[in-house]
Amino acid sequence: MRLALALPFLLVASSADAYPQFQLTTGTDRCIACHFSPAGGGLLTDYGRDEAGSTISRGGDGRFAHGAWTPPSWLQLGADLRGVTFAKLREPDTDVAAFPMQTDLYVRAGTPTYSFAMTLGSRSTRSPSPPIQERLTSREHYVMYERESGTYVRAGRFFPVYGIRSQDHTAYVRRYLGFHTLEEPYGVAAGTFDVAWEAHVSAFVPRPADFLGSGVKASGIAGYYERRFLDDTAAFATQARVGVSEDDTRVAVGAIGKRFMPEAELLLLGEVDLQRQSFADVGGTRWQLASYLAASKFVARGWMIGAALHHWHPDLTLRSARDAFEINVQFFPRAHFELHLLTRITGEGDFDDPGLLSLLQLHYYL
Amino acid sequence: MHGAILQPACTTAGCHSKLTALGGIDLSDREGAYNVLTGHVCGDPPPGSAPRNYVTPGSAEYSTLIHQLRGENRNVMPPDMPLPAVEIELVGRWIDLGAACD
Repeated sequence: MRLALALPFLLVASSADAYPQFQLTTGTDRCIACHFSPAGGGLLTDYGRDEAGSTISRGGDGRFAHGAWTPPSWLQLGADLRGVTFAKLREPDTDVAAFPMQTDLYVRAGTPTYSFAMTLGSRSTRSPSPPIQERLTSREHYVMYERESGTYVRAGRFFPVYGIRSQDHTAYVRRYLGFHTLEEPYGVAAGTFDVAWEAHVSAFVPRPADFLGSGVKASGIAGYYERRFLDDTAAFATQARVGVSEDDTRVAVGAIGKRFMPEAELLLLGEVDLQRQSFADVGGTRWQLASYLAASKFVARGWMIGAALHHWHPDLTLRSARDAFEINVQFFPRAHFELHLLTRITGEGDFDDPGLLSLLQLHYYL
Repeated sequence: MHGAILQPACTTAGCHSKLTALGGIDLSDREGAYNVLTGHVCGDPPPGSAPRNYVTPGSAEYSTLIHQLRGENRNVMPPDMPLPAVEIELVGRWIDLGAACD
C-alpha cells in the first residue's frame, strides 16, 4: 500500500528519447539494435543494455536493476529518471530552478513477434499543481507485430519516425515541427529494414481527449527513408510529413545527414526541414525552415562532448529567425548513470539580446 | 494570429495548453484563446468599449499582452524563447487594427 501511494510521486514524464549520437559511433547502425521502439528511445534491448556498460559508460552492469533480478522472457521493464537544475539569464532577470524533469516507467510484454509496449509517467512541471493524479499520463502505448528482420507494423500512440530523435525535446526541429513534449498522436505505422537502408511510413490522427497531450490536433501521414553507406560511417535520409488540422495544413519535407569520421572519432549530424503552412479560414500560406547541425565526440570512455546549432525560421518572408548555440558535456560514469551539462545561448537571428541557459541534468535509467 | 504565433509559441505541454493551462490561461484553440485575451466571444462584432483584458482591441500600448511579450515590468513571455521583435510587432499591429478573431 505504501508503495502504491509512493509510486505516483515517482512518475514524472518529460520526453524519453534516444541518443542519436550513438548511432554509427558505437558500431551500431540502427535504432532498433538498442531500442525496442523502431523510432528509438525508451526501453533498451539486451544488446542496448550491454552496450551501455561495455561501450558507452566507464563500466558496470547495464541489465535491468543492475542484474539483481531478471524478468521473465515475455516481460521487459525499464525506467528513466531525470532531475534537473538550471539557471536562465536574460537581462534583467535570472531564473533558477530545480525539479524532477522525467520519471517514465516502461513495460513491454509479449513475444519477439507480438508485443504490447507502454510508457507510464507524469507530466513534468516546476510547480506542485495540478495534483499528481491529474498529471499521470502515457506518452506511448502500442501493439506491434515484428519479424526477425525488423520489419514491423504497430498501432497505438507514438511519434511517427521523422527527424533526428534527439533526447532534447526543446531542439527546434522537435519543438517547432510537432514533436514536442506530449504531442504524440495516435496512428498506425509500418517499416522495413535491409542491410544498408530502412524505410518507415506512418498514418496518424489526433489524440481523442485533450488530457492526453498537447499540440496541433492534426491527421496525416509521414514517411522516412534512410540509407547508410561508406561502411556504415555515413547515412542520408529523406522525409516528408503532411498534417491537416481544423486550422491549417502543414506539409514538410526534410533531409538528414550523419557522418562519423573514425580517425577523428567525430560525428557530424544535421537535419533541415522546409514546411509550408496553409491557413484554413483566413487563407494565405507561409514557408518555414527548421534546421539542426551538431558535432559530438567521445573524448574518453564515458565522456562525450558536443556542440549544436539550432535554427527556426517561422516565416521566410519575415526577419524573424530564432537561433540557439549550445555546448554539451555528458559523463557516463557507470552503466545506468549520466550527468549532462548543457549550456545554451539563444536569441534572434543575429543573437541580439541573447539569453543564456545553463542546465545540469542527472539521469538514471533502471 | 493563433495558428501563426500563439499556438506554436505558447501552447506547449507545460505552458498554456488545455492540459496545463498555466495561470488558468488556456490558449490551445482559437476561440478560447480569443476569449481569454480579449474578453469577447469569437465572431461577435468588437464592442465600442472593450473590457480591459490582456488585449484592448485598437490599442496595443494599452494591452497587457504586448508588455508581457516585451518583458516590460514583468516576466517576458514565452520565458524559454521570447518572440522575435518582428512577431511582437505583428501582434501589436493585429491589436491596433481591432484584434479580429483570426
